[in-house]
Amino acid sequence: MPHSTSVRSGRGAPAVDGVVISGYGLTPLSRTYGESAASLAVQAVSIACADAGLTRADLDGLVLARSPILLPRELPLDIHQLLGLQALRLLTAIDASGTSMLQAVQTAGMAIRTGLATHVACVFADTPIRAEKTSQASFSRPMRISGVPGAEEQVGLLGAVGGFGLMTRSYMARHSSNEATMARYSIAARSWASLAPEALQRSELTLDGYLSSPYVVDPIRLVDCALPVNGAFAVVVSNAARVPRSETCVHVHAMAQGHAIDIPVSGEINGRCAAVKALADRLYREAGVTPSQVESLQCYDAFPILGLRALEDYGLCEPGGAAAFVAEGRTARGGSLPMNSGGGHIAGFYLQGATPLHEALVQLRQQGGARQIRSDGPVLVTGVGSRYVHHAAILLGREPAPRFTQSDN
Amino acid sequence: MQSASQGAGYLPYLVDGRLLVWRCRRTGLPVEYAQTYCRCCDRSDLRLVPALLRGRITSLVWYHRQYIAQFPAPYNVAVARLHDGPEVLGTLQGIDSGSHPVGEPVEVLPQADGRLHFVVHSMNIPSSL
Repeated sequence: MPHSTSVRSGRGAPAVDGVVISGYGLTPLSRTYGESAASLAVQAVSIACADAGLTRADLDGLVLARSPILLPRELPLDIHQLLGLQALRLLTAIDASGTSMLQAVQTAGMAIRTGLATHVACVFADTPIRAEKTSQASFSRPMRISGVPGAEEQVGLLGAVGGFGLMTRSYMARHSSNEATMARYSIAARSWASLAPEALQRSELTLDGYLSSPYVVDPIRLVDCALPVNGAFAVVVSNAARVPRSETCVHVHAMAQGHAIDIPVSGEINGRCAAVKALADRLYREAGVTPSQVESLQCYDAFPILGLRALEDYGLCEPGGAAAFVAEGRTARGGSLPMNSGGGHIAGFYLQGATPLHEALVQLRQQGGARQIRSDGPVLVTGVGSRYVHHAAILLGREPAPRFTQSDN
Repeated sequence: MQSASQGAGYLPYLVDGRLLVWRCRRTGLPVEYAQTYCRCCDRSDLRLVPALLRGRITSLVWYHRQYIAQFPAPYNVAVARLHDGPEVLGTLQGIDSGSHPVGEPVEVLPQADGRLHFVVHSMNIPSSL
């Protein structure tokens, strides 16, 4: 670890000292089956290395972020052989549902902090669209929420859309939200996506258009659902003192996880989710910021309810106020808290949990083009796994966190 | 705590047409099926007791897309919070497609195959169910 960076605060939180994301790589995204997940992963890692000014031989760590719908053998641990990584000191896979990508970055960050590794590639790859089956088939497995084996199959609670539909309906009932208000989330996502070349749903969405979109599982309409794609995304997490291109590095200010044990079957959460609130409190404390200082939110939003819950549970708006917060344009371009500025999972592309991290890096490196927002950070990036059980988040910035100094004074 | 009858839904918790729910011997509080301990006293001294089979709907969705042939759309999946127990998954009977009576009081009607049917409490409950 470099000695040039030290913790000034006496709060004692484990700061992410000197850890940066030195490069990233996104493969072309496809709605038809072409290449295997392993092949896509190799491409993404290679692109990320080049972006960082590194070669694959410079990598001494590799963390695989596994998709919950991909068989482990499709993104095997020995993919390092395909990549020709001969000097690995860290090789592992994270199987943590929608938090896998952020947990991979966190694992890499910890390895760098302890001196275990210097440059760690973290890669997510997914191929939900296959020659032999549709993406609907890939995502139609029962979602385990009851704690009673087989109960979901017996009533036909199939696909994540059912479980999150229940969560959406209970949220709407608790907060007396109507469909016209809830619609604003997906409309806003499309508005951002219209400015993002990578986004797959770039056409404007009006309220009439929203209301004419068919229900998949009422209250979730087709335009509320993340759009599955085949593709891969990788980042290189590095020791800040060992990067060849420091000017393009993005600094990791803080990272945290939370894992809930009390999510009701209905998903009806009273106030802020305790696990996420605790996570957020740790995250902000570690970075030395308050929620009001978060510059933008890049969150996991396979369905609108996840984006709304992120706004509330991370303390970015009042509990119960997220739908109105979005409807007022607060998360839109020019709003006080730009959110999922590439269209997110819903209108951008659905690489589970990798999409928000990609957009955060695009913004912090000023590569957003028409959708660029003022972005020095901190940018809050979040991931969600299972039905709101697993949570991971990181705070990123263009510069080292303000609570760090260049000396020990 | 889970029954060895994996995948049987609520069947392992049905005895003589009654639904059994977990309750802490120490505090008397209901315990969710997904948990193995009492959140109040942090102990795992639990017992199964018959539920009163009354509750209220806490959420409901309507499937408009058919995923598998066994479930032709539209159909609903509902969650009810038992007055004396946990939330349970079932199907709300006798309502029009598209309605979502969250908050309505319901009767829980266990079926022989382990499914749970809900009927709005004010409705007449057919004796055949």
